[in-house]
Amino acid sequence: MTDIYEQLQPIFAPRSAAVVGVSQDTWKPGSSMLRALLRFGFEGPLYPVSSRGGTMMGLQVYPSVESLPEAVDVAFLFVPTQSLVDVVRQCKAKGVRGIVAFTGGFSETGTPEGRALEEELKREFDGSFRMIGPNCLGVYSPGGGVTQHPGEAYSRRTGDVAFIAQSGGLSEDFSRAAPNFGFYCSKVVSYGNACDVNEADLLEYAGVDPATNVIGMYIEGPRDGRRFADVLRDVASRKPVVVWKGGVTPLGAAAASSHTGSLAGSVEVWSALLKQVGAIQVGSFEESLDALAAFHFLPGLSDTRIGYVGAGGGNTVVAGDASYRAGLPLPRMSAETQQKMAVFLPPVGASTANPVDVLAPMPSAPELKGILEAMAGSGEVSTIIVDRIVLSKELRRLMHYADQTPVEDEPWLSEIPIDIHRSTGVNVVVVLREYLDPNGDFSVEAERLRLREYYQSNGLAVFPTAERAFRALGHVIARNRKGGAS
Amino acid sequence: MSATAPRGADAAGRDQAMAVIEAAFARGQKALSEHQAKQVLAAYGIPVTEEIVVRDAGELAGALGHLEFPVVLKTDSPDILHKTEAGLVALGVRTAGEAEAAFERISRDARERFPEALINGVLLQEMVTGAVAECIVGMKKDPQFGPTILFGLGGIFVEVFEDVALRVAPLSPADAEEMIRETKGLKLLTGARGRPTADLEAIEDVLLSMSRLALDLEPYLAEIDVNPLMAGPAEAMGGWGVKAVDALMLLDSRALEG
Repeated sequence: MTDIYEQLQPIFAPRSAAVVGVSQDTWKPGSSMLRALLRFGFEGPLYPVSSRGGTMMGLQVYPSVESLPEAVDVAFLFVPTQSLVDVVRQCKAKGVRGIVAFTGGFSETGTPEGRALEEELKREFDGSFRMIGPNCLGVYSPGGGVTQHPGEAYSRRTGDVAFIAQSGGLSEDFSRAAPNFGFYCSKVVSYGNACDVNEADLLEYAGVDPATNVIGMYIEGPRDGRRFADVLRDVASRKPVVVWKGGVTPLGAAAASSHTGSLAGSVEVWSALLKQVGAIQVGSFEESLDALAAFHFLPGLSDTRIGYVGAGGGNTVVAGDASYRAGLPLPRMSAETQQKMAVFLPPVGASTANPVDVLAPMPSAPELKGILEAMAGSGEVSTIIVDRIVLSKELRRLMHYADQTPVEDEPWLSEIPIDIHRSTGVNVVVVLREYLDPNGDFSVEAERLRLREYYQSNGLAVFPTAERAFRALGHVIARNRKGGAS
Repeated sequence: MSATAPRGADAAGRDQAMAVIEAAFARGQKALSEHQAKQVLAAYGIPVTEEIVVRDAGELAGALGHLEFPVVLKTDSPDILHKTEAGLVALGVRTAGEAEAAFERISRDARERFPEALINGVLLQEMVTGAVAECIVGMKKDPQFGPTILFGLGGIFVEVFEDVALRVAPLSPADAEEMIRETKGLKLLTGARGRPTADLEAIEDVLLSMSRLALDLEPYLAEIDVNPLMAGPAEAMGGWGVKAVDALMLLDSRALEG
């Protein structure tokens, strides 16, 4: 393992931890961090530090870093701005290996005082310890029992996707959102002002972290552009790196410089660099998550031949448009395959060419199975996107489709996409649309969420629109065809 | 296939380029003159026009003996960056008499219109023929990522449509190939409307050389425009698939501070 991996392991998988700056007010940040770690299930010794001493949440409170019974692997610092440098010195003297500094008030304020304090802080870095922050929300590493502030409710389940964010808020949003997209996190980091550990270090770490297969980044401006470019070039050749660059308009760039005191790069140069190194450029939170989900579920996909099975003329036309925009024009099915599908379709109005239009969104289970089997068995597609088909008996009942189709004797309707994938090896991607009920019926939403989890936990990627499914698959296929296949 | 000089520069090439740049700094220049810029390009193996700086009318006849008509005359000055707009260029000059008249006019107009400018003389150069398209190859230093290399089709493609490809140095051969392929003007280089096909490998060589030049000389150069870089079939261009016809290099004044 590389140096950076050894250096950051005490932060991502600490054997012991201190929370410095706990307050008697249990809702204040230091205290709520302590609570979050306890509830999240941090297993090692946990030491609150406050000059007041006493006990808190059943733990003995130590009056200083120096008085701790051991040199902890990581110290989470919630001390006032003016004290941070001093506390960092104490940690260093104690032999603490990793620091996460949540405290703000440095270069991000844009004030001379803030910048001067940050310069003073930077003089403390001599390689004997590593620090994330200041001005950050910390790290979420479910495998290491560590969560962000405030991340006590994040999933305990560990996954293969890492997310490296210059923004604390976006790192939190990501940690909360990930399971909804069907994947879980290996590590999420909010790195704030990056005084010591910066975006290039974290990317290098994620590149060698055996738990991480896919990497997402939100970045406004790198601390060291040349090194970042070099590390990105290296890591992107081995793992997919999905980069969302913030501050790409003149207005956005202005907000970026006041936000974290970083210099935002010009839009064109960023695009050029990402293209050049084979990183995946995305433009929004949803596009990031969609792309990461696609890389998680379909890591090796490089075959551009996509089949689309949907319902209704307009929907299939616009799906064809979306496929084209994503660089994945739909191949026309052979006459033989079309004949096989036609057996299961209404005689008038349906279309078998690809996009396939089954006409109404409630084909019977044998019909749906027959259509998908014909397409998957044809050898003419690598992946099938199933869109706008109501995929459970319960959802058909709730949406008042049940009286139009015999479903009572077909308990296996929902299983069909999974069975097709398992029996043929053809990828199946499910589109489960939002806003299904005109009255906002919670039971419709609950059934949609249940189905989503059902497919995701059975290895199928789920997207809320066909447009987003095509775009995400397009990212995976483009990368893998360029030669960086995983 | 490509008749261009070896890619990039050896140590001698870099020394040659540095000699030009150091002399320019010593004279207090903020940019290189066209001829100086081309010496730097040539040191990195980028084909440039055959040309001679003519300092006074007496040198003109001798200089004309080295070139074939038609020729081009331009003022050569580090202080006059846009010669064409200033009317200080004569294209398609076909006789010695025309050349003398152009020399007088350009010398006089340059002195009158730019009395403060440092003027090295009039640049007498070959008129490049046989090209199918004008390209632009550029370099600009990005504050975060360092030198970036630009490629585009010249004229309205770059000015109006902003149809350019950009990469961060160093470029790989695959990057150079991709840059040319991603510009919409590619068809002009690959035989659109019955044109001959340009030597794309020669253009790739220029991009790779520019990448090396940009990194080698990074502290000293702020921006480069090679515009136009004429591109065509090597056999129609005297064995060169490309030739830099005009070049602009802005020096980085920060190089003096350190």
